[in-house]
Amino acid sequence: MPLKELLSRWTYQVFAPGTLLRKKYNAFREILELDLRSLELLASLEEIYTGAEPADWNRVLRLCSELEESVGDMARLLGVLAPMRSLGLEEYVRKICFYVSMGLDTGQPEIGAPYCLPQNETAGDEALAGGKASALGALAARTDIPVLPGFCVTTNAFNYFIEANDLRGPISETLGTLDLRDPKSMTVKCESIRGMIRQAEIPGEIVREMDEQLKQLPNGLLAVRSSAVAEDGETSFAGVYETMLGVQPEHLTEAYKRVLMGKYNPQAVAYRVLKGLSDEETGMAVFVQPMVRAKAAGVMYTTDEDSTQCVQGVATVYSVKGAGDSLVSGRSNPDVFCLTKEDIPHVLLRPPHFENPSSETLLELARIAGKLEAFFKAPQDVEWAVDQRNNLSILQSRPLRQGRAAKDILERLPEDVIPLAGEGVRIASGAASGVVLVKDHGQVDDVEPGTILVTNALTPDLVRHLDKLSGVIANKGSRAGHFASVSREFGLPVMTLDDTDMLKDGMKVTMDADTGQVYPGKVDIPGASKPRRKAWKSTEAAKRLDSIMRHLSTLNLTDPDGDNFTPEGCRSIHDVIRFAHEISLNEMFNLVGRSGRGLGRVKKLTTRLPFILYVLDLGGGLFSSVRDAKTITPEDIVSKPMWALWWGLSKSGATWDEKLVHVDWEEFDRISAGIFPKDSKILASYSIVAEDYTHLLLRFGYHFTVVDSVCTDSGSNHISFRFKGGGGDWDQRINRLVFLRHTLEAKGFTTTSRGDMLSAQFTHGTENETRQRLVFLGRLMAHSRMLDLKLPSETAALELAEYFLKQDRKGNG
Amino acid sequence: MATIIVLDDVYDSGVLIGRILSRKGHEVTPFTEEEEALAHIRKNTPDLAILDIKLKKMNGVEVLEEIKKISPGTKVIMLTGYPTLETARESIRLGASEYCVKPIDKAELEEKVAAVLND
Repeated sequence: MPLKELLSRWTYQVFAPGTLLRKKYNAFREILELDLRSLELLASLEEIYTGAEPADWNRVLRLCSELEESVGDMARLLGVLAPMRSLGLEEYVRKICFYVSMGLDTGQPEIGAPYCLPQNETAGDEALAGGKASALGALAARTDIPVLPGFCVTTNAFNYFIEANDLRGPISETLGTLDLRDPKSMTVKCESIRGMIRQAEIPGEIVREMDEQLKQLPNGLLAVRSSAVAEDGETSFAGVYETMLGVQPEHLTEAYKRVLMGKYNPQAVAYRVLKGLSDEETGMAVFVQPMVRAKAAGVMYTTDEDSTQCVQGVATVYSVKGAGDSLVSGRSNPDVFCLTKEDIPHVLLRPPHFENPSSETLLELARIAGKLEAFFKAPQDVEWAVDQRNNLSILQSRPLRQGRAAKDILERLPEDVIPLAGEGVRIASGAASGVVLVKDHGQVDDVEPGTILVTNALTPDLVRHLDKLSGVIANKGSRAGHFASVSREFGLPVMTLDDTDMLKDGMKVTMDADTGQVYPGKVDIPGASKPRRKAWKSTEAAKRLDSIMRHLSTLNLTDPDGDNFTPEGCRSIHDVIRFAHEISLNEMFNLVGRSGRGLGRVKKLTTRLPFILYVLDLGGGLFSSVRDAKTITPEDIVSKPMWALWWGLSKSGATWDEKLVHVDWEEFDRISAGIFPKDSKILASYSIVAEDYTHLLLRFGYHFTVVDSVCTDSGSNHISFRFKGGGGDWDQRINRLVFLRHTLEAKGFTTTSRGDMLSAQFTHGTENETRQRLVFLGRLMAHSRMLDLKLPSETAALELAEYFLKQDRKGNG
Repeated sequence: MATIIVLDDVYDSGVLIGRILSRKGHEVTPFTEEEEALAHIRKNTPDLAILDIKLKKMNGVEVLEEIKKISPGTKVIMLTGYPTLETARESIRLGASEYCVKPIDKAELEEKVAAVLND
């Protein structure tokens, strides 16, 4: 029976309704529930912080808001239960929550004019014009590089549009519930946001400014492109937004809305979330230009580090016939040209039988490459187009992202492994192992984590699956495509390979994009880099969370007897949770001790073990002969589950082998010397017992465990075990959980861990099976001093677990 | 060892903060009147000013703005019992190094002052 129901029954029996004591007990029960809820919310935030769960910033906001509420309630209830000891706690909670909200703040969006800016006024104003337009504006204003005229509908216009139609609330709420692991639900939710925008009206002030600006452009069709904040800078957002081509001027407002809707495409949202950017800080400006009837168009990398096609360091031009979107969306293979960038450039390489672009255009592109690099002081990824009259225009220029060139290829070839394929061409650097999934583009619905996708083309919609893919092998695609660009940003290995027939669904393979090889099984590639791990830590979201984690998760109150174990000492939400749990337990036991209503007192267990354990009997948990005693011994315990736990705790005598690998024994001595001085009350723990039930809060040093168990011969037995915290940094705490999870699962527990909290359950066992596991838990907790040692790696944790299980088997005979 | 002024309309608050920080070796002068504090800053350019937001005539954010004009080298910590995101954003925008919320205990105050002075 859960604690809640047991206490409920018990309070009804013992305390008359309406009395102060009953009110205090209700407060106590609620605090215990809020304690569990708050720790779960905290663990969810910790998961997002470590990058284990990619989530929209709105989900972070929502979790923090719920946490604020539950901790606020805990503080308020503690004021009912223990008013003197919790004086001032609510004020400190408000303060900590304010610091959290300061850290979460991404500022208020601006909604005032100007709503449109002509191109020459967009230079350098990324906040208003977005990345793309401000770069083009700078080029138009300060260089002679040919850029089409145009105007920008500003981010303020977007913010005003959202505000005027009251969309911020519904959009934020929907984004807060996104689950990147569930593509179907993502599609549905994104579509609902797109629908909200589709049905919304563009405010008159914006339409009027658009009409004014339109008059300054030459007559004819228009190109309407996204120019979002953070687009084309450090974060490319390449290809995930919407571009509308061939738009009639009278349909400009519709095209504008379509581009705005593009902000909420599933791939755009997935990309943004994985980059750790919030929706509000990636405001969507829209750039309007006259449409170029392109004879040829394409992409240019002003300094190409890839030596597979050109000599390192020259400019590479990728060209297709007609408009360039078939190239960047991965649908066609371009002609490739290599050019030097001197005042009189040379074409070093060209494909045979090429028609477009003309030599003059190529040379002009090469000269422009030099000028762009001088202007932006970095290599550029450029989109260009040539019209029917051979007039060249630069459509876009952004920083070029490419990995270091693969050094010596021969160093990268693993020995004694015969590759399945060996003539792949690198698109994005890196090596990865995974399970093959063969699917053509447009048919990729759902992807398991760790997949190596084998597909026909590299289209931008693949961005949706980025966080689950280990690598991509495509039949065709260009380094200059959007997906290629994004893959390099995320460190995802991508290569093209003509013949992929030998790769079948379910095969385990290792691909090395830098050498173009695919190997069977999991192979170690010497010298391969692993850029993906660093990706999350450098995002805006991770940095913002980093600054608030000390207000959320850092535990400062480790010693209940310490001077800082007061409301003033609470510096984090975790401190408040700990403080409230501790004080409320303490208070409840004191209250019961004084009540004397037929239950007898709270008793102190005397034992040779380094414990101070207070025991409260709800009925049948102790021998009736000790009902009025102040102290008891373990032999007085009748409660089946408590007895089993105690057996494990006290009889766990197996000594530890000093030669245990990876254990830092100096550290062990240092810690045990500090934590367990003989008369320290740091180990004060509590146990509520009944004949077939126990609820035990056991404390050791920097962590505590909670065990709740029913153990009876009439079925519905359960053990619920919870462990949180411990000393050391995040990695050590996680390794500790690895140790616990491994040992508990070996004994038949099901475990879940969130952040640094582990829960384990064992249900529906027989009385004997349950009892055996309680003994095991007792042993585990007795050895939990080991858990404050450094576990430097997951391997060390697993070794320790195996060792512990072996000792346990020996101990059982 | 830094020169610090504290501006709080409640005399005891300024004295208490002064006591805590003097024990750390700083020279602390408490004020309850805005004009006096500003005159002092104009003349002495202290290393740090700790400002309450709710004052007698002006508000702390206006005082912050004034300090940054007359003595840009003086660092500022805002300290308020009535925190709002708007005043926090505005203070940071105007150049405050920290925005702290009352009740502030000794350890937090010492820590934040040390961090700002060392920055």
